[in-house]
Formats: sequence, structure tokens, C-alpha cells
Amino acid sequence: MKIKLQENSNQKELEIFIKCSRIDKKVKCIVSLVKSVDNTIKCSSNNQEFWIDASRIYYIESVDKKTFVYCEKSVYRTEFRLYQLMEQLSSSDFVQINKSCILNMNMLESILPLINSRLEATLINGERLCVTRRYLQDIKSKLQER
Amino acid sequence: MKKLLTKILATTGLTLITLATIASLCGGKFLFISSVYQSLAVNVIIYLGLNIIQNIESEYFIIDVFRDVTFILFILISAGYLFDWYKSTPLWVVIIMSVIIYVISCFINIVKVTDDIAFINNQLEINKKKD
Repeated sequence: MKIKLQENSNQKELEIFIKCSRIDKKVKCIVSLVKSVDNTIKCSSNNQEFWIDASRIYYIESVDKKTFVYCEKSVYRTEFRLYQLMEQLSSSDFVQINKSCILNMNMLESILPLINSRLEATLINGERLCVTRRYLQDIKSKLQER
Repeated sequence: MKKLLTKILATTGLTLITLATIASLCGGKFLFISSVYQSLAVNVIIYLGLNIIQNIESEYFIIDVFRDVTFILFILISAGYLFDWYKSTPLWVVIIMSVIIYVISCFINIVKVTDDIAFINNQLEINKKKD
């Protein structure tokens, strides 16, 4: 894969152009990654507002009707509801893993079954999240899309 | 929708096999065509209902099982009165049948989940190697 960068001071908006013989899984994956970089979410922390890139987010969780965005070392709050974020991020690599959590698939390390018949996702930073069986198929489909 | 239909037809098949087995053990020779449609109708109602009540998730697996079994038994017992099953089949037979089918379905589900997890972890490994 060749990557060409062209710098032009007259260019107003960042433009990405992909040349390929056919749109296969690899190309779709690149498009999804590029889209996720451009996908930002308005969050707040300590009365300050931030725009967080979706690619930086590990997972988003809803607790007591409040939505929290978890990055590698920081946690932010957002005014959006989980279903709104799911709609916004569904074209990126985000998937719902239980009724109150959506996960960035790029941050998923592995999934393990527990003795009590529950499932546990381990993230690349070692954090663990509960996965509900009914969402397992969605995770599988998301991986197949890539 | 396709998956739901597959699950409904699979459980209906399982219901009819269990019904035929128990009927054979009791000396029965045939099943009524109406039993096939009644089994299908009950399975459709159970799956549609489970789809709704499974939105109520618990932290404990045993509570989830209790929720499912209670709902299934409620539908089955009600269907028994509606379709007049208790004239030919005692209530306890219906309950035992439903428990047998639920346990078999759970076992099939565990096997499927194990396969899905293996696939997901394998795919994640492949993606890591690609990166």
C-alpha cells in the first residue's frame, strides 16, 4: 500500500482520496478508520468542554442515565444518550456489548467466558467489561465486516 | 429476523421430537396435525416474549434463568388451558417437557457461544498480526 501526502496551503478542507482496483474488506476498513478519526464527540470534564476523537475512545458507558466516555487515562461526561452515540458511531468500529455499554472494537484484546456463564471482554489496557450473550453476534458481525 | 425464525423452527422441532418421544413411551401411536401448529404458535409467543423480557438484564445468571423459565412455564400452562392439552397430558408432563427442551436449548446455546468466542478471539489475533 502506497501513501502519498500532498501539502497545499490553499486547501480549505482535508481531503482523502483512495485509489483501488476494487472496494474490498481492506479498503472498507481504511474508510472506517478514517471516518472514526473525523468522528468527534462533545464531552466535558471539570466544567471544561472537549471534542474527543472516536478513535481515542475505549468505551462509552451509561450509568444512572448519565453517559461517560472512557479514554486511555481519562473519563469524560457527555450529554448524549447511549443510543444517540450508537447511531453516530455505528459506521465506525463501535459495537454494543451490553445494555449500557458500547465498545471500540479496536480496543478489544479478547473475550473470555466466566464460570457463572457470563462473558468478559478484556481491553488492550487490561480493563475488563461485562459482555451480554445477546450482543455476541453483533461483535462477531463487526469483526467479519473488517 | 432470520435468526429469530431459525430459533423458533429449531425449538418447534425439538418440542415435537420430545412430544413424540414421551408419547411413544406412554404407548402413543401418532401426533395430531393441530399439535404441530399449536407447538409452533406457542414457540412464536415464547420467543417474541423472551425478546422483550430479556431486555431486563440481571448481574446474576441464575436470576436470568429463573426469569426465562418462569415466563416459559406461564405461557405453556396458559396454552395448555387454551388448547385443552390437559385432557390428554397431565400438567407435570408439560412442565417436564418444557424443562427438557430448555436444558437442551441452553446446552446448544453454550456450544454456539463457545464457538463464537473462539471465532472472535481468533479474528482478533489475525487482526493483531496484520497490524
